[in-house]
Amino acid sequence: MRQLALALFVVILACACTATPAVDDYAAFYEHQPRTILVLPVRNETTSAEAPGAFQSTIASPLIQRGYYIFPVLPTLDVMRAEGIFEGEELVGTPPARFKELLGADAVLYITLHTWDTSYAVLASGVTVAMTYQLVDTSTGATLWKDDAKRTIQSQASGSLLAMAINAAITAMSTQYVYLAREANIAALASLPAGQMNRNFETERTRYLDVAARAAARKANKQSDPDNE
Amino acid sequence: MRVAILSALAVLTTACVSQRWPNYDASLYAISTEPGAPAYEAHAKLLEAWSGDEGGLPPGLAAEEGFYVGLLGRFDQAQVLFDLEVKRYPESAAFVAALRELVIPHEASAAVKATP
Repeated sequence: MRQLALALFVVILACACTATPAVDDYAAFYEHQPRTILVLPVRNETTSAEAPGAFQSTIASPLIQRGYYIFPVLPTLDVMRAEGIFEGEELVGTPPARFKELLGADAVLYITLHTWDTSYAVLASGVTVAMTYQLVDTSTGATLWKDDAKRTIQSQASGSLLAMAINAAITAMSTQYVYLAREANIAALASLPAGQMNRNFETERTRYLDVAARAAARKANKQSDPDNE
Repeated sequence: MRVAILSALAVLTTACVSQRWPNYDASLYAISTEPGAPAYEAHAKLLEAWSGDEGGLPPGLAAEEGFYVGLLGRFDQAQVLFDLEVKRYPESAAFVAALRELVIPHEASAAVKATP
């Protein structure tokens, strides 16, 4: 019985371990280590007119705080338009290397908004979002990081907010959109490794290299002794 | 009790500091929904708090402020901010050069380029 319990415990531990990101996930990231990121306009597959603007306005600040050089989102759009690169299909068709040449971007972040469902029309107290974030290296075209989790974000609905909504429903709604979009962006970016300007960069990199080295050693052991699983 | 007071203080401090970025986001959203002088002016004013402190200047924000004051016609101020961005973040050089092309009238931009 005690042995069974111990075995179960080991299984649980093993599951807990696999919940952390797979070793390979950040190999490309640390190989290229982007310093500067260009955030491209959000590709909108929903019917919401407000959502793309809200995401666009709330993506730069968490990325900057994560330690990256982010080209200011709105001025960058004007620079690209002046170069004949407009939003939509033209943007998708532009090779990533063009952005390195034009702005000095090490990586580009593509964001696609698949669904944006607010649970209440007036107060927008929660939203379910499905988005894809993909960070692509401009030199090689390799994907450095990706997130496509579907998330439900709750707003900080409070008494004062309710009063605000009664006084000026439109203002409250746009405030809510911005709040919800920011929370969605922050949640998605949680798995993006710290950038070079973040004081945790070295710690995270060392930790990753450690885990990767140990995994490689385990794999080498298994290969040299295939019967001993 | 002391722990409670300390943690309350910590929450308050965090709230004050973290309000700066939400304000930044909201101000940016205002520009994207209603572009124009009032929104540019408000955003530039918000960014001033950062650009006034070179040591703590986050990446991109001096260039962003330069862009909006440039759109408002304050070209000298824009040039100072663009210079600050490149000095603090040399990786922004190509981007800032493109911004100068966009917002500074041609002669002013040529004069700046002539002096290395």
